[in-house]
Amino acid sequence: MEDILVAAEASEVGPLLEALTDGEVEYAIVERAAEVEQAVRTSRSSLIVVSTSVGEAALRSRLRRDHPDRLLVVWLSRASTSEAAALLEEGAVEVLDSTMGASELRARLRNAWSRVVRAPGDALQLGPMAIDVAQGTALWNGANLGLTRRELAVLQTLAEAPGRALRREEIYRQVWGFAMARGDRTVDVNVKRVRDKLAAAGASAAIVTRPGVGYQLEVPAPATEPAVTRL
Amino acid sequence: MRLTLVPQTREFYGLFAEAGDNALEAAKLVERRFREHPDTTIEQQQVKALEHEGDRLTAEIFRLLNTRYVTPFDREDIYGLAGAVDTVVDHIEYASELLDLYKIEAPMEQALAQCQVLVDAAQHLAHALSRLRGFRGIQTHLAAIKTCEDEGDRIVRDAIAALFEDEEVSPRAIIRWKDIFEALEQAIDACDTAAHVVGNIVVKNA
Repeated sequence: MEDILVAAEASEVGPLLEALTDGEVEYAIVERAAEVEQAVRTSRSSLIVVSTSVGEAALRSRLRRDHPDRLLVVWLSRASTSEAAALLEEGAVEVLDSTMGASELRARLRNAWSRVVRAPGDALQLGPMAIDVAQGTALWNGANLGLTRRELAVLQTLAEAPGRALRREEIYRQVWGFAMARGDRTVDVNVKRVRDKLAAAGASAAIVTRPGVGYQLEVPAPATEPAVTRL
Repeated sequence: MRLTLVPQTREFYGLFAEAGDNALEAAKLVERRFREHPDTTIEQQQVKALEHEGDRLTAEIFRLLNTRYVTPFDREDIYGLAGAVDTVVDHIEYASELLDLYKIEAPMEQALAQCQVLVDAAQHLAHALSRLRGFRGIQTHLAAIKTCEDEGDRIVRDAIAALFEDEEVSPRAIIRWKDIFEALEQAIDACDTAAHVVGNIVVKNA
């Protein structure tokens, strides 16, 4: 399964595809404007790159409205700082163009990937991870991790603090609603269980222990075998 | 047939040694059960089985007491020691049962420290009970049990203080853990009580 869906003509986004291939990121590409929405519906990619030459503002608006759980990155067919600013104002999580080098493109995509998107309701999207407390599910690339209610709440708490380590006491208070007694290992036990289930699902996300601080959720940018799927 | 004028009291020594080993096994099992909780494979049934074994050994000592004219120590001391060792296992089993009864989600570090002290105390008690015949080196183990009891007191005080450090700790957590801390402390105290009985026996018979 691809990690990123690219809606653009391949010839136009050559540097981007090169950067993705070098970064061993799987992607699918759709080149015709009429097929973009259908491709997004059938794809599980949480990150969509749409070129301005493929779709107008109306298409991007529909994508944001119909797929609030996806991260929308825009490829500018002609580099322009004013247009980039307008696209960011419009709601793009990132704007890329052909003047950027491969490492800059990958870095910007990584940043976009780690952005948390909250869908209507309680759903939370963090890269390929989708957490829906209302439904009681946490998915990795669409596969259910099978977390218990408490484990799900611990994961959600960590996911809502991207790039930041949380103290055990902080996690306990958010999940259990009480102060944590000194010496209580409830958070550690639940974190261990979530770790086990993430590992069992082959997820590259990890709950990292920050000595002296607590726990931090890390969802790295995908790094799988390069593969191109043409839609 | 070989006749001996020395009274046959070996069975008592053997049974006390077995009772000590049984208490040690129960302490080790419960320490593991707490440490690995909630993913432990050790069932409460296994702990319960050791408690039953303790009851059986106690009953066996009482049976001997009622059928032997000659005993290695005063009858009331044998009776007291058998009961004291049995009480150790009873307290261990009760503390373990609370893990399930209170649906404990995860252990507390202080309880794990108590379990470790309990294993140490039970280890020394088992050594002491295996040395009732001749009392060689027994005082070292009795002193060590007293040290364990002191350490247990320190841990339980700290553990209970931890529950009350923040007013917003869940009242349910306080009730659950206070009971468990106290149950483990009683198990450690029971080792010390048994050590006292052994100490009295040593004083009378050495």
